[in-house]
Amino acid sequence: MAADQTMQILVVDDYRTMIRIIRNLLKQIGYEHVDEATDGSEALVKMRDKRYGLVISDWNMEPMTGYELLKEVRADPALSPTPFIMVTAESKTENVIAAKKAGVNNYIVKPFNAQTLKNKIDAVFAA
Amino acid sequence: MSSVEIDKLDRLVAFLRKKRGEHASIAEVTALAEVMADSMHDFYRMLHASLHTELKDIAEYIARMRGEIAALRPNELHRVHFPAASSELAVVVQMTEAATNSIMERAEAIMSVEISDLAAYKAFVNARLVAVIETCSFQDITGQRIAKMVEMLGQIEQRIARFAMATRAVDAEGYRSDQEAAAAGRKHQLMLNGPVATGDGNAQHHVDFLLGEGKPTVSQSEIDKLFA
Repeated sequence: MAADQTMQILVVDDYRTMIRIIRNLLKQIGYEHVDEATDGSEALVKMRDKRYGLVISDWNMEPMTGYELLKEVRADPALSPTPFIMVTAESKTENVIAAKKAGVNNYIVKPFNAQTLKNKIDAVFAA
Repeated sequence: MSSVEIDKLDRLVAFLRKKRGEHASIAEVTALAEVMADSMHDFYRMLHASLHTELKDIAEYIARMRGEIAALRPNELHRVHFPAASSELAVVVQMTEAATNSIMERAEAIMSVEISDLAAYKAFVNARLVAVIETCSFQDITGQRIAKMVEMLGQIEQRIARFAMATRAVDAEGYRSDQEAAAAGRKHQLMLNGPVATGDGNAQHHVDFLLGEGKPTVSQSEIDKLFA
């Protein structure tokens, strides 16, 4: 299944600058409908209010991390099917394995480029 | 106690034994007290000499520690260096963020502009690219600020290393407060490692492999390491 370019994407990062970068990269690869949240708890509120086709989240945020958000999403039957990509500087093996066990769909290590973002989104929707 | 004094004491004890049950005179009690006092005086003099040496050693150790602590200049670290480092870092974060946003604004303007006239388009793009180049000068200032901090950290490191060696300090285990323990626990539990040193983390192709995608490829730098 190819990714729907009109889907709503939720970008979660505690740095506004990073959100802006991801928003611009998404625009470059054809995704215009982007919402934002600055931590996991804000993202959860938004996700319970609106259906998103994809969540792109940082790991290290306060008060709720991206890892905690992922586990909350997977534990909630209403949110559980939402594809989830982690975009983070946390590149240790233990992080990648933990995210995989928690149900992440893909994992991008910062810094990254538009092509990597596109490849990972395509891979998530091709699976 | 001298042998003369021991002899005196022996004779007095023998005398008192002999007089057991009888009243001793004031002169006899006084003589006994004098001998006792003399012998105790010697005892205290010996004790005093030994204590004096111990106390002198302790005093010298404390004076040396005070000297080492003074050389560490903890008040200066606390009042000057750490606040300065903190404010320098805050400025670096602000300047970096401002520069990034400024560069992005120009890039966004170029990406969204709709000008059909080629010369006008070229002038528009050129003006924004010049602004981007100008903004990149932030690196000079942030670089200087960071260099100052690196120098300061080097000095602090030297002072602490000298202090640790001079005092033969052994690091305490555990945490200084419940707050510190809770923060460390959260970091560990949620794997909040932050960006790792070059070579410590996984590159994207390794992450892909861990997720079951792709093949275990190695980068050129990793191949170079094998031949180093």
